[in-house]
Amino acid sequence: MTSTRSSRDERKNGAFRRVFWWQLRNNRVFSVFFGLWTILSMPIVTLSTILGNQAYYTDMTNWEGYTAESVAQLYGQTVYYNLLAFLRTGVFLVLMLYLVVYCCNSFGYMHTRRSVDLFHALPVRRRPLLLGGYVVGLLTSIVPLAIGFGLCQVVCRAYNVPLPNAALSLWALFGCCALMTFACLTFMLFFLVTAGTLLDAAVSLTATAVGWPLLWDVLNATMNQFLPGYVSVIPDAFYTALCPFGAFYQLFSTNYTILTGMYYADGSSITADLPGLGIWSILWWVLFTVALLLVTVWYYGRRKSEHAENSFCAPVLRGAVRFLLSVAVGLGLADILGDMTNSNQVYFISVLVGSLGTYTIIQLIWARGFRKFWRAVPAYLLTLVACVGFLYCLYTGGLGYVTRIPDLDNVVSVSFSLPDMAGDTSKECYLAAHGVGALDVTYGDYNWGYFNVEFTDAAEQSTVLALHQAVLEKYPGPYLPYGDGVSQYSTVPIEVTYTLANGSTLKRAYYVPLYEDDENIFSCIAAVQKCDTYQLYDTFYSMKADDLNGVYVSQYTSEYDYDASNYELTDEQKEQVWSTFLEELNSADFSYDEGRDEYIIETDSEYDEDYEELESLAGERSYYISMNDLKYADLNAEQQALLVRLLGEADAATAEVYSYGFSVPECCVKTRALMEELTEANGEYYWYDEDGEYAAAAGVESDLPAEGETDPADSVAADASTDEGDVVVTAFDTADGSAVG
Amino acid sequence: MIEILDYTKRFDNVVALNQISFQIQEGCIFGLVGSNGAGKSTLLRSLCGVYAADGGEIRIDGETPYENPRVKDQVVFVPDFPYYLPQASLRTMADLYRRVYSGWSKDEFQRLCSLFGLNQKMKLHNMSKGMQRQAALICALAAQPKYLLLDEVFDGLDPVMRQLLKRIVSDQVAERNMTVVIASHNLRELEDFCDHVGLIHQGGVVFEQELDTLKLGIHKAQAVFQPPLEQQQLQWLREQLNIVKLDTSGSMISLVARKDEETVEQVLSELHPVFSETLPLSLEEVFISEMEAVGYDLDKILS
Repeated sequence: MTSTRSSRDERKNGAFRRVFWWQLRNNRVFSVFFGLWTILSMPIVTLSTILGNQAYYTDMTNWEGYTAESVAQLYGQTVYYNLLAFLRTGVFLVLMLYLVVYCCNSFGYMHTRRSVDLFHALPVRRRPLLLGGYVVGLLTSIVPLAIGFGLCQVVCRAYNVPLPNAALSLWALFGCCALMTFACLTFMLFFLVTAGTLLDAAVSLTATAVGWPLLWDVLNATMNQFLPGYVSVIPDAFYTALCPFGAFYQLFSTNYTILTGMYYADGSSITADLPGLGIWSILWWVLFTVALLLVTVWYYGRRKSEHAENSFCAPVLRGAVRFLLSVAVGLGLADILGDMTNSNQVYFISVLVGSLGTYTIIQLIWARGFRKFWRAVPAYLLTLVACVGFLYCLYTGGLGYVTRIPDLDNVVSVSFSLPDMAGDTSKECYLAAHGVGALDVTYGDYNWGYFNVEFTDAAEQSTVLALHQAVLEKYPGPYLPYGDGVSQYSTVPIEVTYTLANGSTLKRAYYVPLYEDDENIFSCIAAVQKCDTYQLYDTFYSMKADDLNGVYVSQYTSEYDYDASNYELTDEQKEQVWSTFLEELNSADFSYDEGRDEYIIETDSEYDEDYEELESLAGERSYYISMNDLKYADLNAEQQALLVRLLGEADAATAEVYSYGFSVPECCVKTRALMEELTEANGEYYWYDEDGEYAAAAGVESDLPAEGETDPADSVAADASTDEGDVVVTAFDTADGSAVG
Repeated sequence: MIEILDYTKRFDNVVALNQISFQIQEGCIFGLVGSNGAGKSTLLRSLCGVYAADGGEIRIDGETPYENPRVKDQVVFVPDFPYYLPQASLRTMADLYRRVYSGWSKDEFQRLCSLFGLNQKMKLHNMSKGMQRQAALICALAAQPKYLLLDEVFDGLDPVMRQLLKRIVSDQVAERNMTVVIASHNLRELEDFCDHVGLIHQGGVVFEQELDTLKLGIHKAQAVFQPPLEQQQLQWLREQLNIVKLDTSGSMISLVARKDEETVEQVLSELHPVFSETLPLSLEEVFISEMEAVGYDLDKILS
């Protein structure tokens, strides 16, 4: 008999290598399938996108305003977006499926005693046994991705389609994909090693991956429900910090803004170009994955073979997962049922029922029945105590969170916003309701900024502090998620951000239930609005008659049809309308019927196909003055200086400040009469006939669009659409009642 | 040499092996017998390094096997229910063994496949229980281990294959001085195969002895006395013969004594029996007698 026994020294330290090659062979079928899919599908999708859009972009080079270079960039961007869409579905999902199959095939042995007998009796230490399979899994996932990305790059170069930032962006994206693959595989391996059975591993993994983001979402919502003024301080990345699958998916779904920056910026910063992952996220996932891998390998070295088929493999982890999911579901269920019933009793009972139910279900799965159920009760009581403790903390004001107002001495600046405020009949309230009080600016190429009022003067800051104090007086505590049948969300937001002397910020956003008897708050708001800085940010105070764009009058007929007329004014008419409007706005008799006017505006903007709300408006007319956006040159000197400070000189010069239009309230009798006169005499008046075609109203001249011409409704929508509350007309209904538009 | 020193293994609150100690010499075929749940399989898994000790230690050639590739390279374990990789053939399993056992012999593998007549490419899951067991034995033997651990290896094998297995293993023991530890309830098969035997019950070792010595040292006897023996005489018998089991039925007594044949006959003759006969015990009878002595007998189970 011939012996081929080799020297033991020769094979010393070769355990990892032997396991590696064996695992590679053992998983060759899945690996080859995944590899071929990834390597072939990515360049094919890229190629098909390039060929499919070639004619369109070739034609675009002849369009006015487009250069060959800008078209090429748009072409590359389209190819890149399509590739991202494919990565999100065709690659990400297949990769996750491959990792699951690979892990089950390679590491599933540790969950059955028979297979443990085989593998743990082999002359290989546990750690090389684990790491050999792990590295194979990693390489068979990442190498096909690298080749796929490389081939995409080759295809793009062959067709001369410049991808964003040339080669860097694709390789940066690949780097992120590789990192997240590393994280996902390690995450799966961790749960396989720490669980005694495959089912328990799947339950623990799913509970963590779903429970963690859910927990933070629910905690955020709960704090928002309880604490007046609460502003989330939880970064988005936190939600997926223990859910690598979610973070991986986000890689392909949340990078449009970053992509735009990557495309149009100079591209000098690598981190700025990384799609979907910032430098801190990258650092986190590297540290998280390395730490998790170390823990997994360490634990596998200590893991007893007899833990196979034993669900109680890692009691600490089991407790943590059960706690996490119980709290998340308990508070989440309470949020849902509390919102549905608006009842504090239902809320607290739901916390108990939800957490206990979840805890019981997980215990039943893990213990395979009611065995050891009573032993788990003390742990549940701890979970309940944690929930109660958390809710009690919120009930008493979140450790002073609600009542915290900085001293004026410690405040460097205050950013203040009063979006869409309503509540009384004053001019200030009317202006706030129409969206003024902040700078809404576009500048440069496709850049946009929204700037709240920032007070740096101590006297002005004190008006905000006084308002903040007045608001707090409405919330004396204790704090419960639901009030006396009134939801806080149906009210008016006030946002304030203090920048303190120590560099920190304190931000609060209130949804104050304001009523007419809240005189203290209204007087505080009026005081803030009278501040010079506030008016500096408010384009209303720099508007002139020249800035008027047009006037619109729309009417709901008795048949619930909707007619609209618009009119472009001459300079003389602009002056006439604007001066009349200002005269009435500034008069002591001005009284803004917020409820009625807002109702008409909201009904306009949220056009109801069932006509339920329009029915009540039959015969009503709405009057609207639209304004031109203000260019840098249109602003007064102080506002120009402000823009330069906010945007820099170059961008300020290209800036356009968005001007909100004005719905003219009933008290402005003269203005409305003037608008009526102008539009009836000269306005374009249009509606849809029974066949859904444009037709002119009887007795009104109109240039109806011929076939192929621009739809007048489009032009109205484009011209008159302002913010959500001020859209005049975007849809019409036909004589037979069907909605068109 | 395998040394088991005060070895203890627990599963949660259950003590599977409680401070057991014995040695297994090189080149012997050691039969491990015991009641169900006695800890035989646990001991084998401990020997091959699957289980870590909760107390005491196991030494194979002076080293502990747990997490010790050098020792485990010389130990191959064939469990009672061998595990095969999903969709694996005998060739696939051989590939795994080839990669990890330094003693793997392709020639021996081919020879054993021919002897057992197994198709190397056939999926193991399509094979019968007996064929699967043969496959496991082929892989184990082709790895040419110094220590071969077999758990209920005769289950599912037909009589011809059992004899073939015994022949192959015996040859390797003779050729390579291989040590075999075999746990089985099939005591008849062990009787003509093992040279040493150890009896385990409830996590402890009842005895561990060379099989021939064991069989020479314990005998059963039947004798008829007229008149029947008094209690005093029966007590004297117990003292003289180190009796494991004694039954009386009228004038006839049946006993199992831990003495050689000559001593048993001599002691009985002093009581002047009408008739007496002394016979050696089969291994199964030894097992039953010893187990009864530690309270594991059918009467107690049924009572």
